[in-house]
Amino acid sequence: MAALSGNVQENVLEFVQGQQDSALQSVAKAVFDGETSLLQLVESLGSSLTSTEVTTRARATQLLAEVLHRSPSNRLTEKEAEVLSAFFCDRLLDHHSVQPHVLHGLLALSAAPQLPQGEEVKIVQVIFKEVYVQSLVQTDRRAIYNILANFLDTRLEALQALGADFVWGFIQAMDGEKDPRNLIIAFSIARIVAQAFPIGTFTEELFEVISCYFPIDFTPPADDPHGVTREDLVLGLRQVLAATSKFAQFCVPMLLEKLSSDVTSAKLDSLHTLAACAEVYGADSMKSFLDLLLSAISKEVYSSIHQDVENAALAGLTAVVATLSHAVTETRSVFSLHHFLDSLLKGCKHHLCEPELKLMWPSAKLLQAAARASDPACVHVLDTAVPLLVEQFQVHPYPQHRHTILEVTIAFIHVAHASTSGTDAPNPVVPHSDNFLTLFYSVLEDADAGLRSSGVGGMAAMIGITDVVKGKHLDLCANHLGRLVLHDADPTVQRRSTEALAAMATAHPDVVREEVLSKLLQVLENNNPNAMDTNQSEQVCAKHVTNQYVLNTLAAVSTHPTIVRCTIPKLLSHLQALIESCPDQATQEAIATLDCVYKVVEKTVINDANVEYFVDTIVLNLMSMALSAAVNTSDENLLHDTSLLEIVAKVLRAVARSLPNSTGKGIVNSTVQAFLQGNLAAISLNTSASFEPLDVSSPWQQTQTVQLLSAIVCSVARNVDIPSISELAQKLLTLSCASDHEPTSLAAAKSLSGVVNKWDQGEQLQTFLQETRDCLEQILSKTEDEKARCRAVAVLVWLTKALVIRGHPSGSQFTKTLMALFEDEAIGRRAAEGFYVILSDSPDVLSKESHANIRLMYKQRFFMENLPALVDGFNQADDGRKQSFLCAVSHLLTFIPRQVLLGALPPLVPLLVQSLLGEDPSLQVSTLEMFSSLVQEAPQVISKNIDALIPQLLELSKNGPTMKVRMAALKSVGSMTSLPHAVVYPYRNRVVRELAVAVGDKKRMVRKEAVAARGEWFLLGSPGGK
Amino acid sequence: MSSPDRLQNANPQLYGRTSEREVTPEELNEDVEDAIDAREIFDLVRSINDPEHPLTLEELNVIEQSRITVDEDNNHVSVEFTPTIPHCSMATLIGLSIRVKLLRALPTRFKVDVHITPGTHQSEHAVNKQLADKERVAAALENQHLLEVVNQCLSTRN
Repeated sequence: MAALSGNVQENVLEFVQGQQDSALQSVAKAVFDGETSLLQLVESLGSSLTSTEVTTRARATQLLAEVLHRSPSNRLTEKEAEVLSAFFCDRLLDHHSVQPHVLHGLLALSAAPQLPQGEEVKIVQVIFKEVYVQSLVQTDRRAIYNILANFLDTRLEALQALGADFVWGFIQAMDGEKDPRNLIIAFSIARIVAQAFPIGTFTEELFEVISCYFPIDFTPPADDPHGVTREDLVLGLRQVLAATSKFAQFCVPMLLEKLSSDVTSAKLDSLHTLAACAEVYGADSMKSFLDLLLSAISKEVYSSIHQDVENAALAGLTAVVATLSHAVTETRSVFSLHHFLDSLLKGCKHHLCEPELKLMWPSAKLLQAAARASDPACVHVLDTAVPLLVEQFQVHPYPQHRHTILEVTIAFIHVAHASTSGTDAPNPVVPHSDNFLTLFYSVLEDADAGLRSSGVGGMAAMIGITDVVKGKHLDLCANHLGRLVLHDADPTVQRRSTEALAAMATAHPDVVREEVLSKLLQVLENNNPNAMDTNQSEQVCAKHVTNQYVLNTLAAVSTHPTIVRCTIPKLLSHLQALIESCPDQATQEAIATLDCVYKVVEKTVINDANVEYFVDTIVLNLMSMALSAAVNTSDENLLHDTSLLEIVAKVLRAVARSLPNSTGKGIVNSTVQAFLQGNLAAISLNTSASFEPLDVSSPWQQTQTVQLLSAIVCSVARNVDIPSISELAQKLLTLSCASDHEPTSLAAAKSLSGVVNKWDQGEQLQTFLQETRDCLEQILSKTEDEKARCRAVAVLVWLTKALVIRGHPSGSQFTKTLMALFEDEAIGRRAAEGFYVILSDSPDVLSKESHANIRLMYKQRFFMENLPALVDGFNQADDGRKQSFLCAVSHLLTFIPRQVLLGALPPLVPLLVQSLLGEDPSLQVSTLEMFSSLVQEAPQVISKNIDALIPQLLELSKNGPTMKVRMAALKSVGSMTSLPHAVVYPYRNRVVRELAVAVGDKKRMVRKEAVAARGEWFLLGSPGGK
Repeated sequence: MSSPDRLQNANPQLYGRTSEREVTPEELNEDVEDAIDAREIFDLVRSINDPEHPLTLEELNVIEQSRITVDEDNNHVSVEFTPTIPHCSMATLIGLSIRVKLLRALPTRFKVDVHITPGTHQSEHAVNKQLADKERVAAALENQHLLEVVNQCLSTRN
């Protein structure tokens, strides 16, 4: 065999004799590159490995182990692995200072697939025999656990041959382990041992050595580099305890004992572990503990202080009952399940008979937790509980008690609802459904509104379960609900009935249509303005049944296409009737009708079949109603009302957004034809009247319909082309800059922005933008007319928004033009408010729903680009002119994502504090709200500025100009108590003293905030507080 | 302190909760002065936690709006509370919690009188006397343990 090359030999000597750790690198590299083989290395180390000097042997072994770790595993041959394994096993007997390196070497071998069969057994045996694990340091103990874990992972069968010896060896190895990092590995080994080895005689020993860690009490040190959490350990340990049913006889008593402790975390851990173990342990192993478990769990629920413990106890009960239910299907007897449930029922029964007392609720929760576990359990619990509850309902005359009984009953139904989804057996509720429904029907006429409302809730719960309420009951339910909706005087009952009907309409549209819809529409017809006089004589409905109310109900119930097709035509004809009637009284109702149409559309437009239907009915009808009103300016018409027109636009928008491309294209073309060329035939309106809505000189009734244009054109999918885009944009620009009618000019500006946003990039757009900016600058700098300048600002703002959100390069020029206006006395503030428009999501145009061209993260980009200029502008502006800049900054900060804000925040805080000093209440409120949220998100930044903040906040809480400011200031003050104790505690006495003024504020709502804030500060540093 | 085994009244009677006070147009008007009334005092004390149960004084009917009187002109507030059982040893503690809450939440001009509803507790007189004695109240709050329990009663539960 060739000797080592000189260089490597030198390095070996350097490492072993010269104690130079750096030499390791080059030796390892030589082996890694294949320049030197492992056996060559061993050979050259020969004398050192057998040296009489302990340190030399240790160094030599260390070198070998390290090189082994660093060489690729496929370089190792089986032969080499065998030799090394034998060598290391032998060396384990050596001096204790050599041992760690040997273990390190074995660890490398344990991961090597080349290690011959049989070696793993030898290695494990020699480790168990020769190493006293707990006397080693943490890293060496970990090496041993890792060796075992590696072997169990890859060579489980070989180790299984060791049988109980392995179990015993492992028990001794981990007995007394204290390091959390090692415990994580040891727990995972223990789980495999418990599952795959004959632990037989050592069951108790293994359990002891594991269970002594229960419950885990471990708090990782702050800035813990190892990342072991309490949660990791808890779950690791829980997996071991739940590994085998053999542990049951030891584990359950232990859990019972820990459950009786006063420590909340111990209780919680015990209950969670019980839930995890129950299924594995099985009914047989749990049998002898059932009574004890039941009483312990009941106690926790009855005397619950912590919601978490209560929930955990209920989950534990569910797990135990589930296990018992499992046994029913597996073996012969249902005995233990029924026995257990019976004793539970026995304990709970008498509490169910006392609905006025506190324990009624926990008893019901226990029974529901048990019922939740399985169908058989649910059936059994319901069989006893339902007759009892029904009987108690008859016995107790007081509404409040009856109310409690009903709510508990409903909770049982909800449990049953969850229990059988997807199985063949009928729902456990089925046998009781007549009982239940009779009970619920019986309270529907009760004088107590709470009871009626519970009755409705009960019916809703029953209807919610598939196939429980059937046939005539379904009709009956619908009938009852319909009657309650129309005749019950209590708002809650009305609301719940409507909700129940809405849910029913989705599942059983036909029943609702037959039983309810006609009655609702009937009311609408009777209340028709044309039939005003008959209204009085027909005293069929309660007072609350205004048309508005019926319309809301209709909107809620129209969930299913079948129903939608009934309601929409009626609503439209109702609207038509209103328009034809006297306009002065009908506006409100027309608004309500349109709102109802909108709600239906919004809710059901997702359904493709509905979209086409809506185009044919709603869009065409509404468009022609609105435009025929617009061309006829001589008569008054309801649809001349701007707010009404806005809702029409809202409805059209909702439909247009969901249109498929082909339909969208057609409708955009005909709309543009109508608006640009006055061709009303394009939207099937036959009239000879002239329609020039984009002409400034047209009457306002015509120009304001530009809203409808944008509702269609700016809402369809982005790849639908807008015809004659250039001409359209030019006309919109002129209209928005010149129209005296404010709604028209704003609508035109919005339309323009929607069009520009979708306009394809190119020369045409570029020219338009250039000309537009010149034109606007011209108006802004040359005109004296205030109104014209305001309009120009609005157009500028909306155009900037259109460009900024699509990331168009001209966006920054437009922004600059806008910011140049900030110091203008008359319109500066208006320009600054434009930042709000630019960053907020507008509901109509330029939103995601309207398929606007929106570039990712435009808000961040806008923030980054403009913040420096704003801060500069603020610093340079005269005192009186600073407000606009502050206002714009405040809008910027409101809309950017928190991560970006936190980065940019520190230099801005002084600026924000300064904005509190101003005299602008709305600015103060928004800044104060920002401080409140920053306390949670950036406590360090706020802590740093606390000296400036607290006095300012206290001042505003006392003397803020409006109640909103005072309330917001008090909220901020209150939120500060969550800052680090050392930061805020020094202010405690001062804040408590000064807030005494605010608790005597003349406004009640301010006092409420003051009391809350002062209470928090009182608790600061006080025992029992924070 | 309140181990479940030693609850004095493990299964007390429960009462409903009043809904939140509705905001009136006057309350939103900056210029109108809102007087402190019985409902406002009730809202201050109804959410105090019972020392024994995870329930509020309102849910146990210890506090009722009809047993609260406010005389704003003479700066006087009187609160009567009703222990759940006549031998309740927590009565003093509950009274103390109410007192401390009002001390922290009301402007200093008010004189607060907290006492037991006549005829509902066996040592009614003694408890009332304790609660009325300013110095004894102050001394009680020097006791760190007692202060801790009171603070827990006054903390908002989520």
